[in-house]
Formats: sequence, structure tokens, C-alpha cells
Amino acid sequence: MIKDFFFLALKTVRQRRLRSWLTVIGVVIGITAVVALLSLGIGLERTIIAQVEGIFGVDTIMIMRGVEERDPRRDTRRGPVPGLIDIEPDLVRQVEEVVAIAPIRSETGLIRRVAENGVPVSGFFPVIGLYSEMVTEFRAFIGEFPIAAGRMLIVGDERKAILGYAVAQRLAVTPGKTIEIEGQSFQVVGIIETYPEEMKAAMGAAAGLEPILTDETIFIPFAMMEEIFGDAGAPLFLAKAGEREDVVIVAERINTALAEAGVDGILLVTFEEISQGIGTMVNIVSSFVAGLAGIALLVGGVGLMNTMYTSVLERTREIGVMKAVGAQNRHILSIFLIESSLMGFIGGIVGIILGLLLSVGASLAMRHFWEFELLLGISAPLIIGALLFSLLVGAIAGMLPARRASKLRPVEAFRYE
Amino acid sequence: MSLVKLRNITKEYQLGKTVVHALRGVDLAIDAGEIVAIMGPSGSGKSTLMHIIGCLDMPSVGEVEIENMPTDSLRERQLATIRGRKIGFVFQTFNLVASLTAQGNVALPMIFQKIKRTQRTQRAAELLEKIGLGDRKNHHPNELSGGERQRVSIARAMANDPDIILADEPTGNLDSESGATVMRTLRRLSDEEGKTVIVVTHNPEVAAYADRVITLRDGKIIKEERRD
Repeated sequence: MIKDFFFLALKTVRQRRLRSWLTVIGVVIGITAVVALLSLGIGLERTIIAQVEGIFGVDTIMIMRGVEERDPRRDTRRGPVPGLIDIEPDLVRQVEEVVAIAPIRSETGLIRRVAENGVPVSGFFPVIGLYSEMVTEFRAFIGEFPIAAGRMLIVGDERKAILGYAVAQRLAVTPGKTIEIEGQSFQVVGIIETYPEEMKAAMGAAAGLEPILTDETIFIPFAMMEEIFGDAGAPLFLAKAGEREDVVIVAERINTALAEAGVDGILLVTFEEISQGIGTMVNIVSSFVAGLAGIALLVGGVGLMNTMYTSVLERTREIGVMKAVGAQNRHILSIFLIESSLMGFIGGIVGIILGLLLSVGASLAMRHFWEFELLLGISAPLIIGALLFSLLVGAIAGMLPARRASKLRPVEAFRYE
Repeated sequence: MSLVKLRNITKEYQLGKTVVHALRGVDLAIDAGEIVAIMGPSGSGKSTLMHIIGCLDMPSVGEVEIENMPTDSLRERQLATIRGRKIGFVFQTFNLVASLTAQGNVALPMIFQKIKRTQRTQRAAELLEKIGLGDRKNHHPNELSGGERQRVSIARAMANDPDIILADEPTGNLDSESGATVMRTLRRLSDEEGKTVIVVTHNPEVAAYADRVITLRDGKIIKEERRD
């Protein structure tokens, strides 16, 4: 019988074609906006996570200073705090599952260079202490070192430096020349080609730090950092778990090892956590924006309700006739509910298609105009959810009009002109 | 034995601020197979009487029995079932559903009685064939003439093979020739299939098809004559 009611409703919707479409368009606009925005949100989340994964790697564990506050009223709150961790990398290497460890420290240093003609040039530039395993094991993290001239830093180098492209130009140095870092002499051994932009941006996002890779960066051996800038250790250590190890368990082991060595106030962050954090953040933002877009859907729903009320009024006689030929109240209720749900559903289908097209279009536009590779955020739960939601909007909008129709007394229906 | 029995039917309803006394104590018994014409001027209560017989409305006072079943204690669903199975309605303004074809309109009452689709379509086609509209079954109401529409609505009234056909001014919107065709059709239903037909009309030509003519005035039966 529901199937028959469905066809009855379908025939009515098709008969009032223009009005039905106008009504459906209201729902379409709402669903399109919601779907497009949610889909863009999902795409953005995927993009950021993919970038972080590409740089950071799923098997990497970040070790930094941090707190793990236990607040009874909330969830456990964790967060990094500034400060150096003064440990020997070998302490972490003791943990069996750790295959590599590298400290990374970045400071801003006063750089000075006296040119051949005796004119001094100086400025503040980022200085990164480079640990050998950083280059061999965490290549993705630090990026390729495309050497334009000279050579890379090697183990055993002491007062040697390699310079970013821009800083080398500013100081007008070539390999073999000498510069002063915080008043101490370093020999320039290599110049790095310019970094790709996304590498710099992703680096910042991954580490949660200031972008440390710029064309103005100067790299010196890690061991030199303490000598130049004082204080031992590094604010960040990267540890890599062996293949097929559970990263979370390895992180736990590192924590234990450090605690046993009397090092506390340590925060260990895995890729899992970073991607969850990003996911939550992006979700909050995109849900909020989609919620705003939901206002459009609300307006569409009100439009649908209005159309249904008009329809009930117009078809008062028809309702009377159906009752006269044996329709029960619940039959009439079903027919009208199906009719409004059907319009909601059609609006949902069209809206989902348009919304996804819009999000694909936005992704293509970003690639074309900003060369930003935004991943597509098309997911089955999104589509199914939107479809069910549009059905729900239709059903809710039809509830009151359908109730009114079903309660209509046949005699009054016939008296109605 | 009487198919429809009305005892002391009184109906009052509120219209704005005035109370309308539509019926003031009507007693009536209608036998199976009869054609009864209910006549009377406007406002005499004939439509109200028909609505009460058709279970579309309940009397303020009095009892209605259909096939010896009192209707006053029935629930909405049961009344709907009686309307669907035992009574067929024919209206002055046809009241066909515009979005459905002739066949769809005839099949409509069967939907509410949960009759299967194939069965419905077949019966609707047969009924249309019988009233001579077999070739118009896929036409929508707006593609049919008034007389054709009224015959479609008679076919619809016959859909669930009811015992009683209630016709409210069935020829009121038709020219005399179409009106005559409609009345002949109703007459035939009574003669050949034993249907009880109750026609509300103020047209004496229509009343001429009836076995019995009842005249109402001011909510009371003032005259009852039997024709042979």
C-alpha cells in the first residue's frame, strides 16, 4: 500500500511540476551548500594529514617538552611547552624498537661577513643544528638538500656551515668563504638550492613550530649549537620506530626509558595524534560553517512546508473524495508525508550532486590558480548522511500539513470552495 | 429487509454564529435494489441526509443502521472501511483526482482496500469498458467531457462492488442528454446488479428514474411517493 501511496504522491508532484521544482530548489540550495562545505572540509583534512604524513611519516615519534595535566573536570590536557631537553640521543636509542633518533634545534643568530672590499654585512638568520641522522633517517622531515654549490655537511665537520640560497646571496658568499655566527668563524662549505614552497609550509605544520626551512636558513653541525648558543640539548627529538612496530607502544617505551633516566616533563607525540588533532580542528571549523549553510536548508524546509500547506488547501476536495471512497486518516497522512519526503529526497539527490561538483570544482580551481593540491572530500557517510538528512527535512516539513490533511472532516472538505 | 435504516435523525451544525437545523427528525428505510430519489429545495437538508447515510457525517441525534449495523459507535477507521466497501459516491462536480487517469481514478478506492495492483488495473479496465469508456481509460479528467467524467465517477463508485450508490445531483452539471445517459447507467446498475441507488436531486426528470421519491422541506420528510 505504501508503494501505491508513493506513486500517488509522485503523480501529484509531477502534475504540479513548476511548483514542485521551485520547492525542491529550496532544499537543493541548502543541501548543496552543506554538502559542498562538508566535502571541502573533509578534503582539507585529508590534504593536511597527507602532507603531514608525507613529511613526518607514520612511524615517527616527536619528543618534546610538555605537560600532561590531569584535569578531573575535563579530558587529559596535553600540550608542548618551550624548553630544551638535555639528553643524549643514545638514551633513546636504548629502546630496542627505536631505529633512529635525531635532535633538531633552531635558533636565530647574528650573522656577519666581511666582504673582500672590507665592507661588513650582517643580519639575523635562522640557524639549524643538523644532526647526521636527521639527513640519513629523517630525510622527508628535513627535505631534500639540493646542493647548488659545494658539498653537504659530513660527520666530523665542526666549524662548517651550509647556507640557504637567499642568505648566501645576501652575504655574497660562495663555498670556501668564511662567515661569523654569533661572533664565531664558520667556513661555508655548500649552498642549498631554493626549497619548494609547500615543503616549507608543510614543515611548519608538521612540527607545530615556526617554519624552519627557509631560503635564509643556515645549517651547522648539531654539536656546534651548544657552543654557539649555550645550553645543551634540543627542543625536539625525532625518533623512528622500526617497521611493523606499534608506534604508540614504542612511544610508551621511550617514555619509560626517559622516566627511568630521571628525565620528566616530556611529551611524546605520534602521527596518529597529530592527524587526530588536525581532524578535530578541521571538523569543528567545517561543521560550524556547514551549520551556517544549514540555515539555507532550514529556509528550504520552510518553503517545503509552505508548499505542502498550500497543497493541502488546494486539495481539500480531493482529500474529501479520498475519504469518501474509503481512505482512513492514516492513509491521507502517509500520502502527504510521502509527498513532502519525496520532494526533500529529490532535493537531496540534486543537492548532493551539485555540492560534490562544487567541491570538485573548488579543488580543480585551487590546483589551477594556486597550484594547491586539495584532495577530494567525497565519502560514503557524507553522501548517505546528506540523503537521509534531506529525507528527514522533507518528512519534518510535511508533518504538520499532513496532519492537518488527515484530520480534515470529509463533510467540511466538500463544503470548502 | 431494509438495507439502510434511519431513525429520528436530527442534525444541527454551527455556521458562523447561527445554528443550522439541517434535519429535524427523519425516519427512513431503504430496501435493497431500490432507486430512491431525495428531492427538495436548496437548504431542505437533502445533502446533509446523504452525508449521514454515506457515513461522511454523524447525526446529532438519531440512529443510522447500514445492513443492520448501527454506525454511531464506529471508529474513524471502521467508518472509512464502510465508505470504502459498502458505499459508492457520485458527486455533482465529479471530484475526480486530476493527476490520475480515468483508470487510476476508478482504481483509487481499491488501493485503500489493499487490493493488488494487477487486480485493480484489471477491474478498473472492466468497469470502464462496461460504461462504454474502455477507449478513454488512459485519459486524464481534463481530457474528458462532463458526461464522460460523470460516468468515470460512477465506475469509481462501483470499484469495490458496494451495495449502495449515493449520487448527489449527478446530472447537475451535465446537459440533458449526458444526464439521461448517467441516469440510465444508474438505473441499469439497480436493475441488473441489484444495487441500491440513492439520488439527491431537484430535477423531476431525474426523479422519474426512481422507484420512490422522497421530498424534504426544512429538514423533514413532507412527501413520499412510490412509482411503478
